[in-house]
Amino acid sequence: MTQIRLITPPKEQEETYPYRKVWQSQIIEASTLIVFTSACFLLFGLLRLQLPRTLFGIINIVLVFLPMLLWLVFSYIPERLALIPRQRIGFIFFVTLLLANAVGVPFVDSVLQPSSWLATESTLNRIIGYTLTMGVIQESLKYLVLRYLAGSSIQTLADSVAYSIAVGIAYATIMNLDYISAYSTTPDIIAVRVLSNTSLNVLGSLIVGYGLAQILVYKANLLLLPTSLVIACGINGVAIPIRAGISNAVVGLSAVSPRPVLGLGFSITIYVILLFGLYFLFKNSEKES
Amino acid sequence: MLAFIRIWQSQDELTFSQRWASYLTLLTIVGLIFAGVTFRNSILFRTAFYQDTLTGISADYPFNWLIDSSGDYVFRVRDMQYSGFKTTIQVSLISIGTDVTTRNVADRLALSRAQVLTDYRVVSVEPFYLNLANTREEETQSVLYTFVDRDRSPFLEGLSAVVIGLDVIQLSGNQAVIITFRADRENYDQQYPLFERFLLTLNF
Repeated sequence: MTQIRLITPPKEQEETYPYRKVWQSQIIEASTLIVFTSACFLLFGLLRLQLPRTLFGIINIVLVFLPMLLWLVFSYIPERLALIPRQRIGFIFFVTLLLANAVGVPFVDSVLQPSSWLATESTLNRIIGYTLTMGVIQESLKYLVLRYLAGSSIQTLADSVAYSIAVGIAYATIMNLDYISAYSTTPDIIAVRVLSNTSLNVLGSLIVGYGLAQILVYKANLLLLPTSLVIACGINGVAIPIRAGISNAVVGLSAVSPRPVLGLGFSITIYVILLFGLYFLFKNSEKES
Repeated sequence: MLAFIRIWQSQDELTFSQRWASYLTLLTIVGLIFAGVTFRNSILFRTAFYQDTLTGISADYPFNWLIDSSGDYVFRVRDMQYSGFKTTIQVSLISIGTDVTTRNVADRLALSRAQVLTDYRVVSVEPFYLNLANTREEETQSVLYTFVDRDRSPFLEGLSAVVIGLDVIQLSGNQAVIITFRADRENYDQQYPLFERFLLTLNF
C-alpha cells in the first residue's frame, strides 16, 4: 500500500518591483518636512526659545537645505540603489537649480517685482497678479525642464512623479536660499517660508507632471497639458496672497500682531490635501490604464 | 543571442496630439507672460483724473498717490508708499512780465530755491520738448537740480536723502507754468516714466 504524503505547494515568488516607489518617498519627505518645520515654529515662534545668534544662523541654513537633504536621503539615494534607476534624475535636479538661480528667481525679484505693486491691491488683483507673474515664471521653467530634458525618460506616471518632485524641490531650494539671503530673521519665520515654498513648488510640478505624463504615456487630449500648466500657476497665485493675508497683521483700531501660525497651518493643509488628491489622481489613472 | 525588445514608443516619434500639446503649452506660456506684463503695467501706470477749474489745468496723475492743492501751487501729488523722500509731481504758476524768457524764470527759481533747499545745485538747463495733452508739441526749458532732504527736527534719527528734481518751465501769456518732478536719487530713474506719462496727459 502506498503511503500518502503531503507535499508543500511551491511558494509563489513575489514579483519584484524594479523601480523606486516614488509616492512612498514623497510621503516620508513631506511628513518629515512638516514635522521639522512645525517643531521649529513651536520652539522659536511660540515658546520663544533663545539661542546665540550664530546658532540661529546654522538652524536657518539647515532649514533652507532641509527639503533638498530629505530628497537626497529618501529619493535620490534609493533611486541609485533601485534595480532600474531613473538615470537622469540628478541631472534634472541640477539643471533646475541652475535655471531657477540664473533665470526664474532673479527675473521675478528684479524685473517683475510682484510684491512691490501688488501689496496694496485687492485680493482678486493679487491672485491674478501672482498667477501671471510668479506662478507663470516658475511653473513654465519647471515645465520646460520636464518636457525637454526629462520627457524622453517618462515612460510611466511614476517616472513623471519622480522627475516632477525633483524639479519642484530644486526650484524651492533656490527660492529658500533667495529668501534667507534677503531677510535675516528667526528660524520660525524661515520654517514657515520653507514649507510654503516647498509645498507650492512640489504641488505645482506634480500637476504639470500629471498633464505631461497623460500626454506622453496615454496620449490624452492635447488641451490637458496647457490646462495643467494654468492650474499649477493658479495654485501659486491663490496660495501666496491667501497665506500672506491670513498671517499678516491687520491694520485696525485694536492692536493686532502677525499670525504666522495661520500661515503655517494653511501651508500644511494645502500640502496634505492636494498631495493626497494628486496621489489618488495618479493612482486612478494607473488603474484605468 | 540577446536582443532588446522596445515595448514603448520612442519619444522622437511624437504623435500629432503630443506634438500639438507641446506647441499649445508653449503658446500658453507666451500668452500668460504677455498677460502678466500687461496686467503689471495696467496697475503700475493706472491713473486718476484731476482738473483745476480755476486755472484750467488738468492731468492724469498716478493712482494711489496723495493729491493736495492747499499750498502755493496749483496741485501736488505724492507717492506715499515708500519711507524717506516721497516722490512728488507738482504744478505751480507764477506771474511774469511780458518780456520774460524761460531762462529768466529758471534763474529766478534757482535763486529762490537756493535759500530754502539744503545744498541746492543746478545740474543742467536744457531745452525740453513738451507734448501737451499728447497733441501739441512745444519747446520749453528744463532745469535739472539736486538738493539734500532731511528731517526738520534735529532730534529725529535718520539719514538725509539726495533728491533729484526736474523743473519744466512753460510760458503761457503772463504766467509761467512750472511742472516739477522730484524723487530720491535711488528711485528717480525708476519713477521718471510716471512723470513722462503725466506730461502726456497735462493740458492747460
